[in-house]
Amino acid sequence: MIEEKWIKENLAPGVSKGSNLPFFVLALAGVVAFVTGLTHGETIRAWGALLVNFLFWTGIAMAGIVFAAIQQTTNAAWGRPIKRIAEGLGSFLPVSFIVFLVLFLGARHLYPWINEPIPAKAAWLNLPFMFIRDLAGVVLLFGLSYKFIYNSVRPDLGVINEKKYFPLSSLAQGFIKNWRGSKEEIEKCHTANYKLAPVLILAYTLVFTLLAFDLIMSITPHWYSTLFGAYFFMSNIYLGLASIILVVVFLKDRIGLDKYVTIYTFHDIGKLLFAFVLLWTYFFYSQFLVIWYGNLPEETSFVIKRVYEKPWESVAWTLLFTNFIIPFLVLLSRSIKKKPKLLRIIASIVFCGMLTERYMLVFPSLWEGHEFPFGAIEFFMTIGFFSMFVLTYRKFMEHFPMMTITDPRFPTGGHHH
Amino acid sequence: MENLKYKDIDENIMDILRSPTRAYYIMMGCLFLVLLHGIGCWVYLIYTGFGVTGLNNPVGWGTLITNFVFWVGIAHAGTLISAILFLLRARYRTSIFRAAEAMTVFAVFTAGLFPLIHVGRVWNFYWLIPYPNQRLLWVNFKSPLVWDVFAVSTYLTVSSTFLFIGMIPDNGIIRDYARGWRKKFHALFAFGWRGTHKQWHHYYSAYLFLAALVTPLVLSVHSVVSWDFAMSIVPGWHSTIFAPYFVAGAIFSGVAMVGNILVPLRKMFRLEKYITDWHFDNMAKLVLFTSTILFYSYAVEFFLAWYSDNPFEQAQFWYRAFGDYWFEFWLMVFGNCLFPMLFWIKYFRVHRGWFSVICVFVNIGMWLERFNIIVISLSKEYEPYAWGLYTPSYTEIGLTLGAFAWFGLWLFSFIKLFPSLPIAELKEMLKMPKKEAR
Repeated sequence: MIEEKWIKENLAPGVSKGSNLPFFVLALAGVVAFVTGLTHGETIRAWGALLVNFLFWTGIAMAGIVFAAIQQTTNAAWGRPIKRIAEGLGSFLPVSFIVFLVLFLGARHLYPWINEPIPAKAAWLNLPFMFIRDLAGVVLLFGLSYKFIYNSVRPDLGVINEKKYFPLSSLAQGFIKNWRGSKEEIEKCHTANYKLAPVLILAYTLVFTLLAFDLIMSITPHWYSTLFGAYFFMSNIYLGLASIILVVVFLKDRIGLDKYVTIYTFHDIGKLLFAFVLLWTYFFYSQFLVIWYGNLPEETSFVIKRVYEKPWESVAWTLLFTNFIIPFLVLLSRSIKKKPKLLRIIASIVFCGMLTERYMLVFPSLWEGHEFPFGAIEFFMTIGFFSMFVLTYRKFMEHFPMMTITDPRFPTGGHHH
Repeated sequence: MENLKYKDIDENIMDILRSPTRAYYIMMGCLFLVLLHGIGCWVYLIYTGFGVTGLNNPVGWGTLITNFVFWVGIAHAGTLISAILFLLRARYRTSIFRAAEAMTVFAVFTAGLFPLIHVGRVWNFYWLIPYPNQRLLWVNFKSPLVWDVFAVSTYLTVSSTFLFIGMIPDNGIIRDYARGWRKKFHALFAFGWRGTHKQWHHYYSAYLFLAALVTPLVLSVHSVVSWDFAMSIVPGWHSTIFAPYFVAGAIFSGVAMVGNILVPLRKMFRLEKYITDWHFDNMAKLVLFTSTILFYSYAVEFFLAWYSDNPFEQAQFWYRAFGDYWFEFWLMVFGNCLFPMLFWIKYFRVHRGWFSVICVFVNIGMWLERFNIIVISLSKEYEPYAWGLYTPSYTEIGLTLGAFAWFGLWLFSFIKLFPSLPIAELKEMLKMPKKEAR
C-alpha cells in the first residue's frame, strides 16, 4: 500500500493550482468561432472542424480509459502509477456526447449521401439509422467507461473517507454510497473491473470501427477499405499514449508523483509508444500498399487526393515524418525514453501529427478549393476543444485522487523485471 | 514450482532426454511411414506431372499452397511467445517458450516444402532466388511471391538463431552432467559456455537484441504471405485488412498448435509442476484474443463486401457462405470464431480436455480458412465461363499428411535431443536460496 503521509500530502484536492478563467475564455472563443463560421458562409469548414475535433478529443478520452482497461486485463503492474491519470482523460466524455449530438445537426453538410442518396447503400447510409446506431454505440461505450471509472475510483474514495485522510467533495461522496467496508469493496470493485475491462476493450474496437465507417469513410461514400476501422482505433491508441505521456510529464512535478512515477515508468511507456510507432506505420502501410498495388479507381481516389494532389500532398509527407520517421529514430535510444523532458518532445510531435492526421482524414474529402481550409475558425475551435479538455480534466482532479491507492497490483516494492 | 530446488529442475528436464521407450520408437516409425508415403506421392507427382493433383483452370492454387500458408502461420506462435512475451515481461512464457520456438523452426521447415513441391520441377528451385547470371535474368521483384522468399528465409534464419542462442546455457548444463556422445553433442551446442559473469552479460544482451529484432518479423512474414493474395485484384483477396488479419490468424493457429503439443508432452514427461493451469489459462486467453480479431475481420469483410456495392465482391462473399464450399466455410466459422468463445469462461481454459478439443478445432478451422480464401476465390472469379471447382486429389492429401509426419519427426527428435523446457530460465523463477541468519 501507499504510505498514508504521502497520500495526505499529495492527493488532497486543491493540488491543481491556477485559474480556470483563461480556459473558459478560450473555450468560449471556440464556440464563437464555430458560430461565426456557420453564420458567415463557412459551414463546411465549421462542421468539418467540429468533426475533426470530435474524433480527436473523444479519441484521447477513450484511449485513456482503454489504456487503463488493457492494464486491468493483462494484469500489468508497471503502469499502475499512471492508471488514474489515464482514466482522468475520460472526464471529457460528457462533453464529447454533447458534441456528438450537435454534430448530427450538421450531418447534411458533411455527408453527401444525405442530399443525394445512393440507392444501393441506402439501407445503411440513411440519416435516421446512422444516428440511431451511432448513438447506441456511443451510449454503450461511454456508459461502460463510466462504470469502469466508477469501479476504479470508488474503493480509493471509500478508503480516503474511512481513514479520514482528507474530506471528500460532495460529487465524490456520491461515488461511495452504500459503502460496505474497505476490504469487501476493494475486492468487489477490482473483480468487477477485471470482468468489465475486456468487454470495454471489445466495445471500444467495435464502436470506433462504426464511427470510422460512418463518420469518416462515408464522407466519400463510394470509397471503402476493410482495414479502415481497425486503423482508426489502433492509431487512436497511439495518439492516446502520446497524450498520456504529455499529461504525466506535466503533472509529475506539480502533484509530486515522483515517488511512484519513476524513470522506469517512463522507460516502459516510452517503449510502448515506440511499439505503437511501428504499429501505426504497419497499419498505415498495409492499407496503403494494397490500395496502391491493386490500383482500382474506387479505392485509389481517396489516397491520390491526399498523397499526390495539392494542397494536401505536402501535409501527407510531413505526417510520414511526424508520425513515423522522427519518433522511430529518436525512440530507438534508451536514454531518451528515460528522460521525461525529451519524451515529452516526441510525444508532442506525435500529438500534433495525429491531430493533423485526423484533419487529413476528413478535410480532403470535404473540401474542393485549392487553398488550405485552415484559418481562425479551425484554430480557435481546436483551441476551444483543448480548453474544454483542460477544464474537464481539472474538474476530475478536484474530485478524485490521482493515484490508484487501493490497487492490489500497485508496484510498491521497487522495480520488478 | 515454489518448492523446487535447482537440482530438481536439472533432473526433471533432463529426464525428458532419457533413452526413448519402445512407444516412442513405434510412434516415430509410424510417422516415418506416413512421411515415406508422402515422399512417394511427391515422386509420383514429379514423374507424372501436375495432372495428378486436383488443380485445374481456374483453380491453380489448392491444397499445396494452403499447406504453405497454414504452416507459415503455425510458425508465428513460437516467436510471439518467445520474443514478444519476453519483451512484455509476461512470466508465464518461461515454461512454454522453448517448445514453441522449436515448433516454429520446424513449422518453417514444413512450410518451405510446399513452394518447392508446387514449383513442379523442384531442381530449378533456385530460380526463386535473385542471383547474378549470364543471361541477366532476374526474378520479378514486383511479385509478392518473391517477397515471400525473402520474408520466409529471413524468418527461418533469425528464429533458428534465436532458438540456438537461447539454448546455450541449457546445453552447458546438460554437457556438465552428460557422458558419452551426448557430452560432445551438447558441448558443441553450448559453444564453450562456462557460465561466467561476462558470458551471462553478453548472453542477456544478445538475447534481448534478438528478441527485439525478431519481433517485427512476427508481423512482417505473414503480412507478406497475405499480400500474395491481397496484391491481386481477385474478389475476396484484394482487401486492406489482410495483413493484420493474417498475422492474428497465424498467431491464433500457432498458439493452438503449441497447446496441442504441450498437453501430451506434459502428460508423457510428468511436467505438471512446470506447466500448470496458469500457463494453459494464459494460452487460452491468447487464443481467445486472436479468435476475436479473426471474428472481427470476417465480419468487417462481409459487411464491406455488401457496402462496397461491387457486384463481384458481393457475389464472392455470398458464394463463400452459401455456395459449393458452404460446409468448409461454416466449419471454419465454428472452429475459428464460435468454438473458441468458450474460452471466455475460465472452466474451459483450464480444463485440459476442452482446451485440447478447442485447439484441434482451431487448427482445422485455420487450415480451412486458407483453403477457403484460396480455392473459393479462384473458383469463381470475374468471368462465368471461367468458373470451376476443385477437390484435393489423393496425391495432395498424401503430401499434406506427409507434411504433418515430417513436422512430427523433427519435433519429437528435438524433444529427445535438446531441453524442451528452459532450465536456466526456470531457475530464475525460483526464489534465490539464502542461508538462514543465525
